[in-house]
Amino acid sequence: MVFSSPLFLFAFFPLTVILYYIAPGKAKNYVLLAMSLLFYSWGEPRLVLLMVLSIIVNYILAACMEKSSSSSVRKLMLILSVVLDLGFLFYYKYLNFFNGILMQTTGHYLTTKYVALPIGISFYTFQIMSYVIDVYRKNVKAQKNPFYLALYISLFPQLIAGPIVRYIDVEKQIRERKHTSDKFYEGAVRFMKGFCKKVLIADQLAPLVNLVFDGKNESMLLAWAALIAYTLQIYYDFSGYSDMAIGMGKIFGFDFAENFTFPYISQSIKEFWRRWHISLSTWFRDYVYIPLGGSRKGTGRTYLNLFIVFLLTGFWHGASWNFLFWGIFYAVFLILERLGWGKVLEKMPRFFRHLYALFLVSMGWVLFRAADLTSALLYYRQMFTWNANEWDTLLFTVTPLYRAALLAGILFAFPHTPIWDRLKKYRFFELGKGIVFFLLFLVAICFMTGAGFSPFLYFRF
Amino acid sequence: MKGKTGYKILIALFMCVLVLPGALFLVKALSGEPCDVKLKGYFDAGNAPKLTAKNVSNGTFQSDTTNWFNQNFPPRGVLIQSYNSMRYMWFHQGNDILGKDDYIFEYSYVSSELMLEEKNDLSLPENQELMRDYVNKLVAIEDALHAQGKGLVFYISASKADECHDKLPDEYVAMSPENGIRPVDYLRQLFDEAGFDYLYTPDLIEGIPCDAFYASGIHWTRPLEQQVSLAVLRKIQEETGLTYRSWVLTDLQSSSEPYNRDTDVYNSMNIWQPPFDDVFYQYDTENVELEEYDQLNILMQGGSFSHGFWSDVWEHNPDEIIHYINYCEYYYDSHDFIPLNYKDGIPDEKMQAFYDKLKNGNMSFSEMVMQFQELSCKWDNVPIEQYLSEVDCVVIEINESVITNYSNGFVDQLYKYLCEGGQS
Repeated sequence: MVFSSPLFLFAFFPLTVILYYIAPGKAKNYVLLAMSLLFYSWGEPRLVLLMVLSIIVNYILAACMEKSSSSSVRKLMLILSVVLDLGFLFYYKYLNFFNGILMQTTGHYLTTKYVALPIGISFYTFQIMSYVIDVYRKNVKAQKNPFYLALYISLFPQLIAGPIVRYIDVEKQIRERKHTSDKFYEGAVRFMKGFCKKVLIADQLAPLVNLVFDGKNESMLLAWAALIAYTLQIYYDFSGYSDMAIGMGKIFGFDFAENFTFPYISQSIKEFWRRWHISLSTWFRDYVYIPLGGSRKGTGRTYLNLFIVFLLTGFWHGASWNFLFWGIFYAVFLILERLGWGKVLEKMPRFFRHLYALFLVSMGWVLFRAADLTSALLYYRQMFTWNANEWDTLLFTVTPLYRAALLAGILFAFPHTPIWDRLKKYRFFELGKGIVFFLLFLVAICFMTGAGFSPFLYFRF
Repeated sequence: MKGKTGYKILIALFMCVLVLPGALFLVKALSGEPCDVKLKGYFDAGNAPKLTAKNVSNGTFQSDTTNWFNQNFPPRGVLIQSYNSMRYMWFHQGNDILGKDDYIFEYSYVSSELMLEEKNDLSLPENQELMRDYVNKLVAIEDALHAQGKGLVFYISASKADECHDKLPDEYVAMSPENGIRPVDYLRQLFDEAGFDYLYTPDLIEGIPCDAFYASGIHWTRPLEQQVSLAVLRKIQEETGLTYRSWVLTDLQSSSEPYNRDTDVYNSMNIWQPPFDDVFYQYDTENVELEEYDQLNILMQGGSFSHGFWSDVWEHNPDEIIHYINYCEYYYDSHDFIPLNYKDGIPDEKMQAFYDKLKNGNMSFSEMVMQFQELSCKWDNVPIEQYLSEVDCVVIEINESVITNYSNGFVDQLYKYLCEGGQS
């Protein structure tokens, strides 16, 4: 069930809100848990059991870990948990990929059956792991109530598309949280904002992106237009979903951390990864990069650590070569920036720095969006091959609706801080903002219904 | 807190928006009231989900429920119509192509007129070869029919994209190949070279008192359609040498309400705005009384433009015999409607798969039309030989926009029975 679908918007979500607010005190959590399991089982009626099994096992391992004073037992529990979690992830997400490699290289295979990817497994696996690792590190206490742990893992606003919420950040909120009209209002406005980003920008650009990336047109200018469109589409799609998740979280009394802070205004690749999918990059920083030694073990080791982290980041996004290369692509530029290119960049005009970061990020999206590595290379070639009728093809294909979505996408990718600061001084700024988003929300509902079903891009992760 | 009441009002509005469709859905389910506007055109309501343990465990119930709700929740019609209106108003876009002065075109007409697809560019030798073969077969069919004392009438119906070329959007015109040859031009050239007699309906446009096409319709205006019907009837008469009952056009009526298909393509846009044309025309008619006459008995094949002919004929003389075949989709003779894709009333496997997909709502309207046309071409289901033995004349209508469909195989079938002795 995608958030931008009529069934979710007009049935599941309002029903959950109503039941949640009718339920007294602590029963609220159980309502949320029941609805979250229903939400997940709607898309994965059988594999919901996998998630439940994972929750139970990790609950037991974390509890044993906490009870034990022996560091070796604690370590054993941790290893068991990590092996189990990553084992599930490997089986469901990566087995097909490695099976393919094995078949191509040796003619043998691990299994003949195709394993379907359960929705959101990458997100909830990382959440479970962060919980167990934090218990191991004694940063948090193990959750005594298994239902509360289940709620943390399965909470539907962030279950299928993040942000990757850390247990340490919501531990207290699960036990006790405040519900105020201000918070509900803030959540509703945030939800509407995310919904508008997804429906009015990302979904409107999707057909243009699909048309060109699916190889139905060979125009150079169109390849650039589609790449700009995809750069915007993926940002508005993903950040829109994060906004909706954060907004729904607030409606249910939670405060989730931000996941995006205007990534396209970055002036370097390093800065980009501080602004893009923050919950994932900080997860890798805290649970992979730092344990590997971070930047404390010498220059060479730092570069190796960076390489490993971004290789894994790429692989986390998908089990295919282009995601691996996408990760390596970023690792290379991050290492180059550390090697000295970053200092050279700092001396360059700001405009050039923006252009540099944006250009590389966009180029990386080709690897990310293309069906496979060959298609990505063909796309790069198309971007630099001039054809006849380029302008006519561009004007013909990029219709006024696409142009409007592109323009809006570019416009709202910048923070416009001075304008907002000035507007914030007005008494009814917050309410005015809410009214604007409400009106846009009504328009977006019409667009969602009229344009039909729109699957969410990040489902495959 | 400042504006706290405002916050609460906005929260209430937000929740109302979320709850309203679900509430209306319940009202609809309990009372049967639609609680919505009715959309024009294709609408697949989907099937209600069946709650069984098996359906739940394999996800069928969930996906069926999702589809069913998404297709049926009220006020879906209002929302879709609002979406279409916004798209039209703000971006001058619709499901079809919006040209200058709000002239609406369907893609197939524009594609043929501007040769946007390769098959419609007759400067290409392989396309020329196909069309030459088509014309050669028509000439041979005409000869064979004449030898049996029967006639052949072939007429080309006008295309809005051709007649209203100046209303086509510039970005589409720019995509047209510079040295391309339109199908209609090449077909007419071949007909002239072969000395093949045909009726070119755009020649009749000068004689009508209004435009040939309205901005809001993809089919021609009624006055032109009425003129064409009479011209086709005259042509059949010439070919067969028989005397048929006819009618005359009398007073020209005008109305703010559209006649027949005057706003067909506008209707399919499902927008709130009123139709762009404000006056529509149609002739009154009077039957010509004859003491002695022959009964019209023809086999006719064509597309939607030929509907004007048989509906005019049956309106004036319901007992005339017309075996009508729409492309290769269905047979109609004013009594029976037989989809040609069915054999003995049972759809074949491919057809069944198509209907299943259709039922699940996984198909756009244009995809449905395309697949329907593709799937339904089963000439084996049509007793052409029997019709040929009964009728006095064969009439073929082809619109400028679908010339390169080559009558959907009908001409090949005629050729097979008339010139090759029925052998495949």
